[in-house]
Amino acid sequence: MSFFDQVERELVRAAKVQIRVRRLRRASALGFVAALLLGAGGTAAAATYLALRSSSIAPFAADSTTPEQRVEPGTSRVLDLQAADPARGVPPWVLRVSRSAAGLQCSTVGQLSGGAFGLVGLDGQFRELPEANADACGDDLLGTRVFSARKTKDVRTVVYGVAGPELQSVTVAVAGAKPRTLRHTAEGGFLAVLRGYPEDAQPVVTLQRGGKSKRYAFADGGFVVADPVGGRAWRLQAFGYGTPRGKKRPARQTTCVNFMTARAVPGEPNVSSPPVCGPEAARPGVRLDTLFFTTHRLSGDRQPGPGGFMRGDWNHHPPRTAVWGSARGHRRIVVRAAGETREVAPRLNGGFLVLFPASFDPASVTVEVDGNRYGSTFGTVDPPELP
Amino acid sequence: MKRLVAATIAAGVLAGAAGAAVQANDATPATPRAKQSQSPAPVPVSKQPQGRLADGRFEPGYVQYRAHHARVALRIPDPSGGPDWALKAFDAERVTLDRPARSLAHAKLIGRNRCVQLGRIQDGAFGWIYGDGRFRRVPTGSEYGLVQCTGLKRPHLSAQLKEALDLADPAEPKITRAAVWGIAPDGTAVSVAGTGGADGVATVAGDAFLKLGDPSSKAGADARVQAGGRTLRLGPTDPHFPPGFKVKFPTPIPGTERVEARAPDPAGAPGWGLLVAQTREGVPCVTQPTQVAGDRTGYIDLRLALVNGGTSPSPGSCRPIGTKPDPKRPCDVGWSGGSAEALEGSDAFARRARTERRLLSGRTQVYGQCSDQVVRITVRTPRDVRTLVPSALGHAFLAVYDGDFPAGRLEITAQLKNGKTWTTKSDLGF
Repeated sequence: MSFFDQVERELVRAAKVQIRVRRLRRASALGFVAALLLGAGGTAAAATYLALRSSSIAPFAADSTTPEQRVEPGTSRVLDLQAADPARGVPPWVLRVSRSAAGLQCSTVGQLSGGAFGLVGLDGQFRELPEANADACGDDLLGTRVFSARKTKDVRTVVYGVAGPELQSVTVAVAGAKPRTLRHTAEGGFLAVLRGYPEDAQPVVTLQRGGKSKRYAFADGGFVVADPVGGRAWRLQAFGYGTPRGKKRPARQTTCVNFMTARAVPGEPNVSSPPVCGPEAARPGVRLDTLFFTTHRLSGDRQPGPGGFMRGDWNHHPPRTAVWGSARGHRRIVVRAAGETREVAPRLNGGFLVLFPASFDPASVTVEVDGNRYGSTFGTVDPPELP
Repeated sequence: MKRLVAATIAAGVLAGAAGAAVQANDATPATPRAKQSQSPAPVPVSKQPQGRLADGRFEPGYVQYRAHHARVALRIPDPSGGPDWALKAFDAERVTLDRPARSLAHAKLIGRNRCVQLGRIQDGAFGWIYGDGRFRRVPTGSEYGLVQCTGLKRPHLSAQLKEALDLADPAEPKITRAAVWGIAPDGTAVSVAGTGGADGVATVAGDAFLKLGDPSSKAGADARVQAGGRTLRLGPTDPHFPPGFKVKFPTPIPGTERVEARAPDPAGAPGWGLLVAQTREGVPCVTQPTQVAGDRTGYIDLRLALVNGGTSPSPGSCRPIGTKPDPKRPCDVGWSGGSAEALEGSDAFARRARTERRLLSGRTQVYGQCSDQVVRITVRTPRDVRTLVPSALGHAFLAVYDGDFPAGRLEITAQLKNGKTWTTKSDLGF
C-alpha cells in the first residue's frame, strides 16, 4: 500500500468517525478538542492530499524548453482582467503574464478559482497550471487559445493579447459583426471568450497603438468560409480528373469543387456538399476561362446508392442555400439573393462559396463575376464516369 | 478517540511533510497558490487490450495474431534484479475481421508468419512492465510493439533494438535497459555489434535470440546483428527513392549528432526536438521534429514504456541540400502534424491530458533551418506569437502546438545580424 493510499484510508476513516462524533453530540471537553484537531488535521491533510493527487499537471521540464520560452521562476502574475465564460457557474478566464529566461514576455490563458490560476478540465475539476507552463513567450503576444470540449458549443476560443502600455484601444469583431471594444490593462492586456472554434467565430482584433490601427484576423484565409448563421465553418476543396498515363493530354479537363465542414469534430457528423464540375485548361498554352458554379438548397441526408462521394453527404445538418463553384483567375464575385448582396473573391484553388439561410430561394440568386452577370448556375458539366 | 486524533494528526503531518518535500523539488512558484505544484502523475494505461473493443470483442480492421505452438523460448535474468526478460516464439496466422466478433474463427487470413514476442516473466506469468510500472500478462501477439515476425515459409533474419524507459516523469523519460532481439532462422550463433552497451554474443534458443544492453546502447549507423553469415543493420536507413529522383541530401558526420531546438509537449508527454549533425557538405543536417528521450529521438510508446530511437540521422532524413538557407531566403520553413482523433482514441495518456488541459487532439509542429545570419525568429500562428533563437549547430527552430489549424496564416519573421528582417507568410489549413 502506498503512502497516499494510507493517507486516503485515514481520511476516510476519520471522516466516518467524525460523522459518528456529530451524531453522538457529546459536549465533553475532550470531544470538542478532538473535533477541532480532526478538523484542522483533516483539512490540512486533505488539502495537501488534493494538491498532490488531483493536480496532475506537471511543470514543463526545463530541459525541454529553450531559454526564450522558459519562464523565469517567480516572475508570474495574473493581470487585473477577467472575462466571464458564456456558461453560468464557470470560473472566469484570466491572463497570466511572466518573463522568460531570455527576457521575453510570456502569457498563459487560464481560469481563476479561489485565487488560484488554473483550468477547469473536461471532468469539471479545477487544476492549477504550473508557472513553467506558459502558452508562449515573445516580443508581441497575441492569439486565440482553443480549449476543447466534448461538444462544439462547449469549446472555448479565448482571444487574448498583451499589446504593451502604448495600447490605446482594442476591439474584437466576431463573424463579421460590429466590433466591440474590450477593456485593457495598463500593460495592454486584453481577452475575450467565444463559443466554438476560431474558424467558426472568425475573430478579428483591431489594435490602436500610437495613433495607428492594425487589424489581426485569426482564422480567415485558406479555404475556410464562415457559416452565415453561426454554425460550423466550411472548407472548400477542388479536385480534377487527370489523363491516364500514356495518353495524350487533351486541351481541357474536368475540375470540380465541393465544400465540407472545416474541422472533424468527435461525436459530430462530417457534412459535405456534392461537387460542382466544369472545364479547365489541361495544359499550358490553352486559353480557357475557368468559370462555373451552381446554386442549391442542401438538406437531409445522402441517398443510398453507388457514387456516394459525388452526391455529397449533408448528414442532417440544418439546411443551407449555397452558391459554389470555381472562378480561377477572376477577382470579384457578387452574389445577390432576396435583397442581400455578398461579395467574395476566389480562393487560392479558384473555388468560392457563398451561403445563405435555407429560406433563400435558389431561383432568386444571381451571380456577377468581374462585372458580367449570370443566373444561379453557369458553365457546369457532368463529371466523367470512372471505370 | 485518542487513537483517532493521533491518526488524524499523523496523517496531516505526514501528508504535509510529503507536500513540503514535493514543493522543495519544484521550481519557484508562479503565484502563491502554485507553490503546491505537482509531481508528475504516473502514465495511465488503458485496461482495454489492443485490438479489442470496450465490450471485449475483437476490433475490425486490426490485424490479429492467431498463435500456434507458442512457448517461452528463452529467459534471461534482469541485471537490475527485476523480472526476467524472455522471448516467446510462436507461429501466427495474421487475420483481420470485417466486423466486431467474439472470436477469430471466421477472420480473414492475411498471411502466415514466424514470430517472437519480447516480454518479462513475473511469478511464472509472461507479460510486460507497462508505462505505469505495473506488470501485466500480455496475450500472445496482442502488442505490436513487442512482436517481430518473418515469413513462415521463407524466414529472414529479423532484429530490433529497443530501449525500455523509466517514465516517473513522462516529460523526461530515462532509458533503463536496451534489448536487441529477433529471429535468426539460420543462426546458431548471433552477435550484436556497434551498439556500444549491447554488443556481444546473444542468447539463442531455436531461432529466437535476445541480448540485453545497458542504457548507453544505441542503434547508431554501425549497429548491426550478425547471424549465419548474414548481417542486419539496426541503425537508420534511407527511404527508398524512385529511379531518377534527383534531390540531394547532405551526409552527416558520425559523432557530431545532437538534439537541438527543444520544445515541450503540450500534454506533458516527452518533449520534442530536432536531431541535427554536421555534414560533409557544410550545411548542417536538420531532421523532422521528433520526440526525445535523453539523447534519443524517435517514436516513444508511453503505454509500453519503449523507444526505438536512434541518435544519428540518415542522409535522407536531413533537409535536402537544394533547400538550404541563403541570403535571399534565410530560413527553410516547414510545418507538419494535424488532428489525430482516431489515433488518440486508445491512448490513455493523451485522453487524460486532453481532459485535464482541454487540449485539441493531435499536434502541429512549425520548424525550420536558418542561415547562420539569423539571430532571432518570430513564429506567428493563429494560436500565438513565439520568439525563438536558432540553435547553435543546426540554426534550427521548433514550435509545437496542440491540434491543428484548419484556417489562418503562418508568418515567420527572421531577424538578421545586419539588422534587416525577412518574412514569409503561408495560408494554413491545406
